[in-house]
Amino acid sequence: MTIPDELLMAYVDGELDAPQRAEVERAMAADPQVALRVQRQQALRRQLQGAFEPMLSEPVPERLLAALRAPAKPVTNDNVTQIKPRTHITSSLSQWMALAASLVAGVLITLLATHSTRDDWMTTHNGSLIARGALASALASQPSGVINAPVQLKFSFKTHTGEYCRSFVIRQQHALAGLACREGGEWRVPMLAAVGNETGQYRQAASELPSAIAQWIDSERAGDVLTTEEEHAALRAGWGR
Amino acid sequence: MSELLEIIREQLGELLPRLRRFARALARHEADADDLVQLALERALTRAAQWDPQSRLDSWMFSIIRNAWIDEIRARRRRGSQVDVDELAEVVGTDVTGEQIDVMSVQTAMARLPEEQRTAVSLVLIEGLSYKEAAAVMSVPIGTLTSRLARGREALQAMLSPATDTER
Repeated sequence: MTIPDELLMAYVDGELDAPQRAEVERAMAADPQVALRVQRQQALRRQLQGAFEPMLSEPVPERLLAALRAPAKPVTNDNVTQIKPRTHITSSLSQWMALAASLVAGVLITLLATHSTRDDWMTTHNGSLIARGALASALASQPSGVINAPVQLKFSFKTHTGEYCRSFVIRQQHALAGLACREGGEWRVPMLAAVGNETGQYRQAASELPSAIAQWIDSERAGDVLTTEEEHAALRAGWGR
Repeated sequence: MSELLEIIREQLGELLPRLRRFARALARHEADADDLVQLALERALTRAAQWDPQSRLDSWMFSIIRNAWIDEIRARRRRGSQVDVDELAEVVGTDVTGEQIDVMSVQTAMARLPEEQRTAVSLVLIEGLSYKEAAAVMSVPIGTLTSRLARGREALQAMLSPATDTER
């Protein structure tokens, strides 16, 4: 009788019950070819384990140990939310962003409502936040790095799909940090976070971008952050592709 | 909750070398693999409440790493970039001892396997998960897992056949 490879593999992997094991062992005893096939499977298993074993004794990089020790920060302290998952640029972080969104959406909505910033800076359209008013004008015309302005632009970059995005911080009692991307002649705000909230366990410098936003940028940007000249050119060209 | 979080942190610390190894089998490049592990750690700590303490933490982490990797592959496909297997040539190098060549050739062979076969081989043959556990990590029926495993093994045998044949 012929013994299928998958049965021999299951034997080598320890997945068979006693009667099936006995059956394979009888076949091995009766037929050297079957025994050889089993040996080959065992050899492959050993070879794979031997090749990947040394990795276990490599020192673990400090950044991973740090990630392990870090408080579950992106959700609790940064109050990051992703307003709407991007359909054509979905960050690899989108899954936990969605989780973060579900946890802090309430916080953010309260924040926006109580400080009436929403009407001043953004409007909702089809479930997306769109920059308005002073935020929209700053995004369109203000160079990155200007400090004494209600809206601070941090830097600009291009995504893999060729859109321009800019990171910004709105300076006010409860500072907001976010990201705006040029789409269809408007600045859509895919990510927004409350920073420098004094009710938190510690106060984060309002000028810093929350780590989740920084990570999003790292995963989505194509090439380097725009230089002053490149940014100036894009600004003059109206941020078209 | 915070007590559970501390337990998870402690166990994750012990699992780190294996998590890195699994991620390396998926991502193939060390830096990419560590990015994956870092992301998975952050996700795990954020979602600690979703872990059932009765279940295996390693399986749970492997699922998170695998999902993060699938997200990454999709993102790469969308931006049209592809990981070139030949990039591995620079990792393999030329001036290595015979033993290292053997080790590298196994890893190179692994790197050439299709994604799903590589994951199945890594979970069962390297990480030692049962078929049932590995199928759960990959969210597929056991039959799908075993057929991926079988095809992966056949492909590896074919690529490594000289070494496998002479080993015994």
